[in-house]
Amino acid sequence: MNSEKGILDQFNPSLKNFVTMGKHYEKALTVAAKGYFDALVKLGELASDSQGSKELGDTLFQMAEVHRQIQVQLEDVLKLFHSELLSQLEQKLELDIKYLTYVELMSRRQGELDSLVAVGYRSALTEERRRYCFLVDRQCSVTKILINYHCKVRELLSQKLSSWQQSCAQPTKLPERALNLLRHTAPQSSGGAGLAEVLRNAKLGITQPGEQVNSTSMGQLDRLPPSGQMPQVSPDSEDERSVISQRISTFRPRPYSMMNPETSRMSPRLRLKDRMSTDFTPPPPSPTRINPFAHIRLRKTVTNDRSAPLIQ
Amino acid sequence: MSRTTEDVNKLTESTYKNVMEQFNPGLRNLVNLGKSYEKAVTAMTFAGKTYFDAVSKIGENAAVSPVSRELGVVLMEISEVHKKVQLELEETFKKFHRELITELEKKTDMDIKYMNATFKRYQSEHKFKQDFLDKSQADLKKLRRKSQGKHSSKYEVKENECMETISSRQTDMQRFIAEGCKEALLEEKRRFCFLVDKHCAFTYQLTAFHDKVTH
Repeated sequence: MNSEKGILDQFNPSLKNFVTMGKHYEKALTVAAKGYFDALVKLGELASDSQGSKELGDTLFQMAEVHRQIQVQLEDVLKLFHSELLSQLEQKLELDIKYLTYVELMSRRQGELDSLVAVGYRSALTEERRRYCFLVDRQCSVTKILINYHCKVRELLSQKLSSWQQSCAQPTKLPERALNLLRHTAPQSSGGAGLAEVLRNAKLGITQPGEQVNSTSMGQLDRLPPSGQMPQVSPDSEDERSVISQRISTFRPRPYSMMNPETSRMSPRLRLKDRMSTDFTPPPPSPTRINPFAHIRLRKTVTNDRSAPLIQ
Repeated sequence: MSRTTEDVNKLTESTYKNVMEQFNPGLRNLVNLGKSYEKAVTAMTFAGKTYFDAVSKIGENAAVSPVSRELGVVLMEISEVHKKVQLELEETFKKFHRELITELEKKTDMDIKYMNATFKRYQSEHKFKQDFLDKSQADLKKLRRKSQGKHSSKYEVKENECMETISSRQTDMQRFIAEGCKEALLEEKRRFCFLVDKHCAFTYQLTAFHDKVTH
């Protein structure tokens, strides 16, 4: 007769423990998630206030909002888990303690009266089966809840993902507003050399007499480090810039080149799945010279104009 | 320097300062909070696994009973599947750690030196060019004082040369300012793009996780 008692009894201590732990972990997770996404919002505010990165601020805000909604969904799941499973189990447990004692007594009496042990045994097994059924049924309910949750979350995340990816797809292109500001500042280049020629000469290390090729703080154009930084272009010409950026892409190492110790270790399946990753820069001669954010390599389709000649 | 160029120079400087004093520390903070977030998720998945282990145990007992055997099997299956889900979630957050948190940490550490050096270089080049420009303007003043009252083509020629020099240095300065600002804005944008990109990757992985779980 221990069988029908056993099932929920065994469950009892771990259940009580789980309920307490569950509440604690749920709170910890909510607080931790909120902390993380609040920090992301702060960075979004920084971006919003900038001249060149406003849309990225919007993206960061949206990300935080979506994750907040996901947390709400998760909290609902946990509430349902509690109401659909835990409290019902707890309730049955309490009732059962009284009931099973009674049943045990009845079964024994039954057995004594009819001396039909089989009947007593059957009722015990029936009781046992009832309880297992109940438990399975409750687990099924939880499973349905979780499927629903995962579907909702998947929906929430995939709705926004492509617009988020787009917002960060051009890390080396400034918005029109910022470019206008710069156009006002710099006049048309004096002297005969056209923009393209200036840059070409710069890449080949030739300086025009009396002309400073690259006078900015990034270092000389003619000594472009292998990390392939964007050379300085006058804000004037849009077309030139797009040509340049195509040529620049050849400076960036191929997304999955063997040069990169990290990606050569990745499995082919991962390569297909892992659409976004960044390079490691090779060990620099001087740590201050290499831009840690030089390669923002996004999806494979964005860069890599293999038709362009490789300019060393 | 005209008002616009001075404003643009100020914008360049404030952009660099923003990255160094707000963005990078903000990133550091994010990294720490990310670690806490991971810990909380790990604790959650551990609790989940413990729970489903208990379910499995009950299933084992049921499997022994003649009447409730298939229910026992079902309970064990339920437990296996849910534990797999917990495992997948754990794997997703391991990726979160590896591909987002660790990357952010690495970049932030490297960036301090780099941004400092870059900013200093901009400032010193700016100063150099400004001094250069100021000198040519001072030269012009001196020349004009010398040529006071004297009418000579020699002075006229020299004066024109001086003014041409000033003009070219001004143009150069303006170009430097514009390019310097563009660079600074791009540096800033690169960093935000990196942040957003990493989170897109994480979002993608989360989506894949939720997708996998429902199928």
